[in-house]
Amino acid sequence: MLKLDAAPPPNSFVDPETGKRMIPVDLGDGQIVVMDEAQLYKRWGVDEDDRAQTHWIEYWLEAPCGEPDYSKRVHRSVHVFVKKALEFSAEQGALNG
Amino acid sequence: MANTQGIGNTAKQAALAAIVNAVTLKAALYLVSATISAATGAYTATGEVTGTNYTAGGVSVTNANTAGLTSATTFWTPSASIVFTTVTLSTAFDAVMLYDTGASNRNLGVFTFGSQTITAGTLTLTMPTNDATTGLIRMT
Repeated sequence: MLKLDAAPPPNSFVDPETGKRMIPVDLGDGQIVVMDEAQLYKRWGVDEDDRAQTHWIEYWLEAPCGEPDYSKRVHRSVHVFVKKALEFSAEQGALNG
Repeated sequence: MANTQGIGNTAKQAALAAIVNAVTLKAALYLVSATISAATGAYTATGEVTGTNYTAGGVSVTNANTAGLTSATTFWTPSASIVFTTVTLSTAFDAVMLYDTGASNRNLGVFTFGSQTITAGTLTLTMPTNDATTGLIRMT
């Protein structure tokens, strides 16, 4: 399910000099650098099942034609809200059991 | 009024307290392909995720709560979200194990969620409200 809006990734930040939001990205080489959010295509949404509600946000490299290049996802943050607890019960035996 | 048998509620609270109060916990993530469960006795690196900025063994869990008791239910929940900051975990994972580093890494519990990957991002696991209805571990 896609959400209408999403909070920025918790590890992003606003560059105090430019005022631009910078997004940590991994371009595929295992190194994490930052890019201007305006240079990236953003997707976000919420998934939910009986165990958790999961909010996710992704950034993709944008192709020259303006369409996202889905082969290059460079950022994905996830916020999982745990719903399902672990339960156990104490059982008492009968005296004559 | 008739007498009623039952395990003492405060005894149940003490039982849960013995495994959660003031213990040092960590949280480790496991791949979808792993086979950890309640039967896994202790933390294992087998099947654990690997990736940029992820350290084997996972991250510390903030544990300022103690076992609570409401009516006949004792409960406990970590006191803060569990956060893995700026990691890349490219292989899908779907489980986290909480384990006690002061008790030979004893497995406290395994929690599963939908399959995830992370790219240069943050994974935040937010805990439910710590009460008898939604607490993460409950004993009735």
